[in-house]
Amino acid sequence: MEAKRGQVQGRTVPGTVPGEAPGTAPGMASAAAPGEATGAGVPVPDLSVQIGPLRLKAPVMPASGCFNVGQEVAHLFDLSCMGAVINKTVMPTPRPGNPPHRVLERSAGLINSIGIPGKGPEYFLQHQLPFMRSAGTRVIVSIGGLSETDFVALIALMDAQEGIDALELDLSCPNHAESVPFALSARATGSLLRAVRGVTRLPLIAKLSPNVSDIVAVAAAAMEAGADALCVANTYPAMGIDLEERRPVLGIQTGGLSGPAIKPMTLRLVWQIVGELDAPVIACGGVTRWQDAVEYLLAGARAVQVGTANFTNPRAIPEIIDGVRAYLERHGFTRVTDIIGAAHPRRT
Amino acid sequence: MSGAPTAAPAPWHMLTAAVAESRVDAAGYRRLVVYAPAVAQACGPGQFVMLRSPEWGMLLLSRPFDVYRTDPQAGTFEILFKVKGEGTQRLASLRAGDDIHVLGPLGKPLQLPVDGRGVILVSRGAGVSPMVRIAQECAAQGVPVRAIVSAASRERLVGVDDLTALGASVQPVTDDDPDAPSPDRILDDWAAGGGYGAVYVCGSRRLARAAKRACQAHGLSGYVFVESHMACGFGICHGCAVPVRPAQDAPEAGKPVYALACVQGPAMPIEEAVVD
Repeated sequence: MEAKRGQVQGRTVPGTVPGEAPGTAPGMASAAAPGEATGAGVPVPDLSVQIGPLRLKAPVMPASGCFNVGQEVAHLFDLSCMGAVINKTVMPTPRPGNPPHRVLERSAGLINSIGIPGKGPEYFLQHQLPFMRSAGTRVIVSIGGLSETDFVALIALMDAQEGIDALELDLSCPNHAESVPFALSARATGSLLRAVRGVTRLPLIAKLSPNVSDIVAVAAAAMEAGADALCVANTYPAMGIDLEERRPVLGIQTGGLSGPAIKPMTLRLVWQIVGELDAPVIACGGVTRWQDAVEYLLAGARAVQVGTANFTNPRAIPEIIDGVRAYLERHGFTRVTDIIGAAHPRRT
Repeated sequence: MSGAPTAAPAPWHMLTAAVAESRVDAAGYRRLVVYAPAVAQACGPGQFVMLRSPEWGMLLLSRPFDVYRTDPQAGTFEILFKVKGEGTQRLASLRAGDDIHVLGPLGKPLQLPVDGRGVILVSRGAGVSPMVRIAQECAAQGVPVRAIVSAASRERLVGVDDLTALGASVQPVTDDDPDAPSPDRILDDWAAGGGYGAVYVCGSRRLARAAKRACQAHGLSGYVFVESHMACGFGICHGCAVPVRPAQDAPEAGKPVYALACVQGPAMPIEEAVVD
């Protein structure tokens, strides 16, 4: 894990990716972990993936903010099938969230300005973290804040808890008016990661914003400053106007676009980062069906997060996992890692 | 509290069901009957469903509908709606035998007064939907029902016959009737007369305000069905926020407080809901 961090020294160019064996695709795990059955003679493909120091049993998990912690859907499917469970972002203090309207549907997309309502860290530790620990899979805790001090305090708090496997840092929520998201700037992102890296040994996943002109620069800054992996990305700034009322629909006028509409754009962001950096990427943007997940994996993502799709199809995550497995079987792959990054030009 | 939403509804279902019947009624409302025994049998008064047609085009979200009535023996539930946008248009084009995606029943079921007192139902337009389901429950439990059913015109009145058939005493009120008594006056008379424990109101903020005044004046419990843009229907998106009034001594007093219509409603205590 330490060595992994040390590998990232900024941008690399195709053909000179450090640590990549010739002929392998970028981001592709070169071998199964020791003791890992690769399924020789067994028809079921190995779905496990390595995200920095974090081993996941499957490359699919919920997106923070679109799942609470899974209690509402636990009667519909076995949560332990997921690669991880992730909470709706915990902020340093309880928050009411934004005034309505908070959601708005547009073609193949959802615009939201929820504003991260929540009951704060104490409530999370008492009522949500125990459920996450009982889900039978990796526990990734999403935290947010308005300042470096906020993040340092929350990370220290989470570091003291049992049963947390990684922290996802929400550096990119567009919907709290109090501050500018860290991930809009490579400098702010690097500065934050440097400030928090020494606080915990837990793997840190930096959740980036798509709303930047150079995503690779922000990604590189996060990795150089100590992130173990990247979550790419968040919603895209958007709005809608009511034709009859002649005013913006959303209560705070603008919000963030998610859903199938954004997948091609986020796919390109993943493609760019994986093409230029040796950074483990978790893709988050518009994954609705298994085909979306496979597309992201082919682009080099090690795993995907499912957000908006949960709202309409609360069984989306297990269906996507089944679909990925069936795809691998159909094409004769024994491990999901065989397809990660496979769409990139071969580097010889 | 008598008449209050209960705390812990049974788990809801996610299933693909079959449309049993689709028709337009005399008032121009579309009525869809869905064969989904698990949902029909579990659906309490005050609950709703999220519906989506398999042919959904570039639409994304399911649409919420209060359940109009259930027939547990036949395994069906019925909804009533006006075609307003692309979603309701696509649902209206479904025919008997077609598939329909259902989540439900959702929201907190209402618990009716258990002390023998009756209930007053107040609705306008399609807001009559949850009232018919409540009247069904009242008929089963022997709870007396009076209802005010409001509409723009006599032709647009909907649900009066169904409420009457369930034993409710119904007072229609239409905007085009110069002799119609005001809903405020009727509500005040009924509430003052005694014998009623709760008022339920849906479909009109004006009627909700009138119901609130009558409840305050005569000591009845009141519940208003709140509306909000909704994405999921079961509490994970936090989209369907409605402003609520915290109690005077609550730590949140003076700050904005929101409830989620889907899991804390859709029927909210009228003293908490913001109806002005």
